[in-house]
Amino acid sequence: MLNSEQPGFLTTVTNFNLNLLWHPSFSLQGNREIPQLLNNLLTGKLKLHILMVEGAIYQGPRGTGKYNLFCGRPFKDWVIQLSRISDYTIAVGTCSSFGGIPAAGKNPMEATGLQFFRETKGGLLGKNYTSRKKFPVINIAGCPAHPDWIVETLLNLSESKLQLADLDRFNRPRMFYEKLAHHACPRNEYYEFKASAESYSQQGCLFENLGCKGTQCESDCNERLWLNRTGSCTRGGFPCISCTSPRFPDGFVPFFETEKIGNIPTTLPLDVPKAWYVGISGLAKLACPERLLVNATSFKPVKIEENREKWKKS
Amino acid sequence: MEKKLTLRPFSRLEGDLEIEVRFKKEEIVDCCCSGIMFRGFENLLTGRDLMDALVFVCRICGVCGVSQSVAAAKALRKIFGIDIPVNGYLATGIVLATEILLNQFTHFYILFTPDLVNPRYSGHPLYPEVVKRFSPFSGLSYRKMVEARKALLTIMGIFAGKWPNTLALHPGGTTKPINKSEKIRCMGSLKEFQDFVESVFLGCEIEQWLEKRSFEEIELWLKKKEAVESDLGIFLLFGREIGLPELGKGPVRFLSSAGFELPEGKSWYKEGFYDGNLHPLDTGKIREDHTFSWLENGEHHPFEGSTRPDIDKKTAYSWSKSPRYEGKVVEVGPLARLVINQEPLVTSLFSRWGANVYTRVLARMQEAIKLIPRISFWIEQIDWEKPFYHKPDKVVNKKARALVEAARGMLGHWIKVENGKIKNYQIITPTTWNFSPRDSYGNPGACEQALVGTRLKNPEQPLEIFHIIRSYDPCLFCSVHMIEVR
Repeated sequence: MLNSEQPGFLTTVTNFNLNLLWHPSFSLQGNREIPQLLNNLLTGKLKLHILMVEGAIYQGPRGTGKYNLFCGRPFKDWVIQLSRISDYTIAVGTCSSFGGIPAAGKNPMEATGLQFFRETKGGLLGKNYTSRKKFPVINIAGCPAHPDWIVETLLNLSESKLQLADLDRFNRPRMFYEKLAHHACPRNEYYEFKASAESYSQQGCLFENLGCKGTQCESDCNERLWLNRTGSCTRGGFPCISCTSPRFPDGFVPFFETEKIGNIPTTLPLDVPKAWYVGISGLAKLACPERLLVNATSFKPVKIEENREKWKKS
Repeated sequence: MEKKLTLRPFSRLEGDLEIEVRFKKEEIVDCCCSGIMFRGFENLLTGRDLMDALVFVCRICGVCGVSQSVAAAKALRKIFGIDIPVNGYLATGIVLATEILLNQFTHFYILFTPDLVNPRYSGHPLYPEVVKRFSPFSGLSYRKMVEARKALLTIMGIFAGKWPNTLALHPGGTTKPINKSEKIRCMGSLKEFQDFVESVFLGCEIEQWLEKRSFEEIELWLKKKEAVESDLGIFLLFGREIGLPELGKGPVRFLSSAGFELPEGKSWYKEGFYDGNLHPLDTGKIREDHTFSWLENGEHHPFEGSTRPDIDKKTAYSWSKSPRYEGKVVEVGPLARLVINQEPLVTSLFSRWGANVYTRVLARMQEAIKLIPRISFWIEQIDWEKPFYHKPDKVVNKKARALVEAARGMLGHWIKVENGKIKNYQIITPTTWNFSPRDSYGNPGACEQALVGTRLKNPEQPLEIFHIIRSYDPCLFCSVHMIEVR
């Protein structure tokens, strides 16, 4: 949140109609005030407008939740109680939305998201849960979630501007997740002509060989950009691993190389028919300009004239 | 009569900590620091692809994930038996240093100084100034820092694409080549942050500040008007008035690794173990003890480590293990590494004041200040026409170790590989060293030692405890994550 922009963190917490009751990183309250605050919320003395939960919910060992205690009780029990009295409940990040990394593999920690476990509705609070304003848990997925997604959701909720219809099938606000990470990727021209990088740090597309899931990942990362609007995964030279998806992480392995059957990646965008992909990519490769072909496997821009000379010699 | 106090939960710490202190006549006679959240990454990497470690370890922590990535990439590089290009070392150093810089300034303004605004200190002459500068959300300097840190995010964005959880740091180097234009943008952003540091934090140019190399020179400076006009000056004067140098001594044994790797086997920091004298570091002397952890008993070198939860264990009170060096309790962090590196100012202040809250915070900021010209130098050194990355070929080693200096101190990764998959992955984080529970000999961990003997002015509001804990900048998320895979 500290990294949010337009509005920034300070403007968000001081200039809008938001009263931050408690945040573990910023608040002054300590061991005496926090239990008091929780008590005031639970007894109705204080209104809980928005409950935000970060991190997967640990139900282990054996459903007890003792792997994560908070104020002397399993953290999951606090979440259950507070979610009953909040107008809106928000899961921030893929872990609290869907389980995420802690729920990877055999899930020994019995981790889950608030209202989803991976793609299945249910999670800690159950598939029928709604908050006081009749909303399911709003999932701001992403590992991490973009700070803007958090702040914009908060501001929309504080002005009652978010409707149920604004949520997608995984209850993520559509305005952030209806794009693909692929959109506005600066490597798109390489993608179009299937001019692919063969190893990291090269300029070509990362989809064909290096594991990029940007064509499957629902997020506006490459349009919105991160860190003062300077970066994104693919701009940083590494593959998108689709961290906003409920299937993250296990649904996207291997992370750093592309699985193929024959020459065809198994990670095609879901709505692209395989036969068409094969036809189009074959044609695209044939049509690929030399400029892209050469640059795709170079870490720095290569001028095509210089390269011609080299080719002639060899 | 002996009384007991249980402190939980805490704000302004990373992760979940619980502290139980017993005190007699306002003096702490015993205490237990508990990490109360077990994240159990240990089984997550079992049998996974080696490269999956890059995706998982940075997600241990949202504050210092880069240091985890640097450690994993370095260990995997050894597994692949390769070297990386000079640019790879430089870019890795820049990303890690930027993360440390972000962490240290965020710690100072957002986690540590808000405690100084407590009304208990309102009688002190500098209190109004402290309130004006350091109050959360409204303090002038607090607000300026939140704005200024954006310049560092730009450097992160250009070098690492995304943060937290960048995947730009690979065993073969860095995935993002930096061009001429990007070098200039990063230099510009660093200068913007430097402007904040010089005008608000130091009140003078970094170069001028670094001319002060001793306790005496600091004393002279503190008498000048410019000291009272800088955040650091206010902290040094006010911190002394409220007794920070008397708090949180700890074990006064330090450990530091050869942080910030450079080409040809060199590094910016040197490694060592300090116990009054300097000794070479020998990682063979590291053992982790589980006596008071909710883990099956054991005492192992990290290569042989295990992390099997045992929730019903009677003696246990923390999820954290107890790492020991030669069986001794040690402290890691900026103070440790600057003492081991004989940094002039910190060494001088350490010999005058010893290890405590005051010198710990000062060492953290002194290191941060020195990182700024260092980052600038490394950006300058990048040759954008040369590569940043070599493609690794195949696994040639079965096990590897990597030590890294993270914001909070020494971080170690120990990996064992079998059939191209991870067989065992052990991590010892800085907070595990600093916030460990007792060991089988009953020796309390470093922070536990720092707390014992502390006199509490008001046990109802034990500010002294908060200062001591926060001076270590603990990250409990990290400490209870030792990753182990069978």
